[in-house]
Amino acid sequence: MMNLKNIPSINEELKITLFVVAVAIGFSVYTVINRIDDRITPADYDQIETMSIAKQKMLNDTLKTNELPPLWNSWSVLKNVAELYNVKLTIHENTAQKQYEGPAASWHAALTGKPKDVFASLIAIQKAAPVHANVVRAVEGNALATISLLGVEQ
Amino acid sequence: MKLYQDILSIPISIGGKSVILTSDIVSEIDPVEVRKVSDLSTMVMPESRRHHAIWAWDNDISALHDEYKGVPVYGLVQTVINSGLVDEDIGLQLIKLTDNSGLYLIVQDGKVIEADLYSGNHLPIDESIGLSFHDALSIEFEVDELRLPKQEIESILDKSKKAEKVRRKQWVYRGIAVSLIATIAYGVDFFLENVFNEKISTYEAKKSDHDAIVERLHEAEARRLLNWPDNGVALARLMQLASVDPTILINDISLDEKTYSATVQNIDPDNIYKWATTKRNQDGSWTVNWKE
Repeated sequence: MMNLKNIPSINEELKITLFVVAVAIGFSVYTVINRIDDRITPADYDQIETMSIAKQKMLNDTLKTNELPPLWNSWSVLKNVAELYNVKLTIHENTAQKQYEGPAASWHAALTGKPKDVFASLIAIQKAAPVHANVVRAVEGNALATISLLGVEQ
Repeated sequence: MKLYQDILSIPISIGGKSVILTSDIVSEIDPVEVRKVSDLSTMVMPESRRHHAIWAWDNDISALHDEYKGVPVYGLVQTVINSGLVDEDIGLQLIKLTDNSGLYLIVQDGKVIEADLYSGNHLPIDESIGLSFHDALSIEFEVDELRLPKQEIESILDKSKKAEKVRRKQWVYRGIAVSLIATIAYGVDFFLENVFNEKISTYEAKKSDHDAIVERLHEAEARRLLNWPDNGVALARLMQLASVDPTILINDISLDEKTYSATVQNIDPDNIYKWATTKRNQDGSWTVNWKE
């Protein structure tokens, strides 16, 4: 049975329309904002150009330097210097310890002797050849310094 | 005495407009509930300052609509009230249709509170309210005195059709509004997506340039070094400590970390090691720490 009360008034219809519009706007804004949040700019977006310039300058400067001496030649120099300081030079391939991990070819070695002699010899060695100092240790008058000799392979 | 039966339920001309007048009811509550009948009532006008709600029987309206298609139907009482023909000071007033029947109107405080058909010169109301048929005023008017109300009587079917029309129209509006909103949202999103994609492709071009340079730098660094490794400062300090105490204790120091620590039994009294912090231990030794 039809009743007047069941016939929706214009106001009610308008309210539904406004509600539908509000929901549509809300959903649209929510979706658009969500999608904005999903678009993540890489963290180094602002620095990439500056980084390139810096690396390019490093590359240019590096290319201007002389090539590293051959490993075998430097190894002879190392042996002479160690002998001069009364320090023992041995081949040392201990991967458990920190050692040079750069791109150049390297030979790993250890210097052993009295602490003062080991330190002095290492200063002299770094002046004579490209040598990366890895770890130093001294116990009861005996010192050990692990090093990585850098150079080009022959 | 004027009788109005002949202007009821047939098309007449009021203000140059062809209309039909029909008997209507003034009642505070729906006459269906008053009479306990199964007929349907339709509200003609809601309550106002001049009258309680005006009603009509839906069957009457539908029948008139069927018989005289397109001719608007108005209530007689509705039209008489609208034309200002009701005396605000007289409690019982009559619009006579025949000699012994018609419509009665009860007026209280200038407001029509009840109106309906009567017949046999007898009111279908409680006589105890103090109104007697003999005191009744007969309302008399010429048809051209009548002024039509704004709202014609609509049957429930009319109202429901009208409402349906409104509803359909509103759904069209909703559809248009939602499509418009969705289109705008899509447009905004499309624009933002393009801006972002452009940003990313610019970034990717720069990134690949950067990676190429880094790759070349690595290749160069395999054969050349900008600076040879130099731990001279740290080694000189260790040497200084070892000269004073040849039994210096150094737990593994990674020289790349630039943080140093050593334990010595003696320190040089003439050299306070400005570059380090020293601490005396319980066993008399010294711990020396420094950073580069």
